[in-house]
Amino acid sequence: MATSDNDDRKLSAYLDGELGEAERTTLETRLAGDPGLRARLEALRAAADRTRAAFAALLETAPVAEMRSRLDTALADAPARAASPWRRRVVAIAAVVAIGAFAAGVGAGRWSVESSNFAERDDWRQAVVEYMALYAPESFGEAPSPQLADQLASLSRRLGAPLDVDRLKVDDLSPRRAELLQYDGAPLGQIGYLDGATPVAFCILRDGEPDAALAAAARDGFAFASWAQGGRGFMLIGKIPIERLTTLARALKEKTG
Amino acid sequence: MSGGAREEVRGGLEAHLARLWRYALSLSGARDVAEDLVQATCVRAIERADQFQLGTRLDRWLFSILRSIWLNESRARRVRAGQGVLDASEALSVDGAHQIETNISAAQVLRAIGALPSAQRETVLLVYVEGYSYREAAELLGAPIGTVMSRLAAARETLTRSHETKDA
Repeated sequence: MATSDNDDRKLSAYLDGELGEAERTTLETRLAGDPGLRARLEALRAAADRTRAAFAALLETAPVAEMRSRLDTALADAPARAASPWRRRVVAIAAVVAIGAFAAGVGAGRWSVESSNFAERDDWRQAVVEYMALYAPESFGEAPSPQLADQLASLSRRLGAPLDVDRLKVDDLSPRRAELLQYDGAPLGQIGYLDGATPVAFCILRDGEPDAALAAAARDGFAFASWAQGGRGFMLIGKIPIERLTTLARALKEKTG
Repeated sequence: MSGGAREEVRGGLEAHLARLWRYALSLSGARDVAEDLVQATCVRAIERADQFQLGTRLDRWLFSILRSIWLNESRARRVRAGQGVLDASEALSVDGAHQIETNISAAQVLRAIGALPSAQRETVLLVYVEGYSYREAAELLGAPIGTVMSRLAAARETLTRSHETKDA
């Protein structure tokens, strides 16, 4: 028996469990008394069942192995941690500094830290280490930046820590420039020094990490010291003797704590 | 926390590859295009993993990504080629039938599904096969629920008729 398009719509929605209460009751009453409508219902039901079966068969032919291998490549290409603005910045700086370094005949340091040296929360420290390897003495300028006081005031606000030229003077070193960067959305301040002709960087990340005592390590000519207090992580790094770096770090910790 | 979302997306993608491919195939109608579409979906999902809402269904999120990539792609292709999107029906039925010739009945149904207008074919897959409610399908398709209902009824009618004709 022929049914109207409207009946088909209703029967179809009924089969899909998508008919409202009132409409469903009305339709069920009609179905009870109309064999033609019932037959139509069954015919339409079968169409959906056949569709499901056909698509299930199609699923069996999916090139899963190929897709899995391409997925593995995509996962390997994209690091598990979100690409941070910091990383992008490192790349940009690497390009600029590498040119400067070669021009100066210094050569960018080849140095990398195995990730096992750092806990997960220390990723930013690893980023700093990689970044530092690209620094040349010229990176921190011939003379202290004329905007240093302003730069430090801005850093103080963002990091919630009092930073000024006096506080950041340690031993015979004076800060030369200060920069605000970010790592994974957290403000990262970097204060640059020159110890003789060697760049030394003091970095502060406001990331809420738990307090940690000062610890120092040396590797491949680099020395670094790190600690955390008051929800901020600190790091001092440079290619200077570890004893010297540790002394400077202790002084900085005292003055900025 | 976003770290959890990243892990869930990265770890969960693999389980959905075959179904994403099936959706991609019913949209594009070409196996190689479908595979590329799935790959593009994976790449974008990995990039945007932070946006995935924990506690919601990953497969639905991936389907919506795949769909938007396909729409942008086919729009771009249409602009480039100055003509309509490529015809899904031929490739779906022929390729599908070729791959599963042992399953004659499925191949015949796939051919009929392949001949449906693309909007009907997509709605059929989402509701009958993927279990979308009308409302969920309407949301994904950006169409009123009444449209979803009409597409399904029309598709059902066509599929029923083609089955009866074949049997006759």
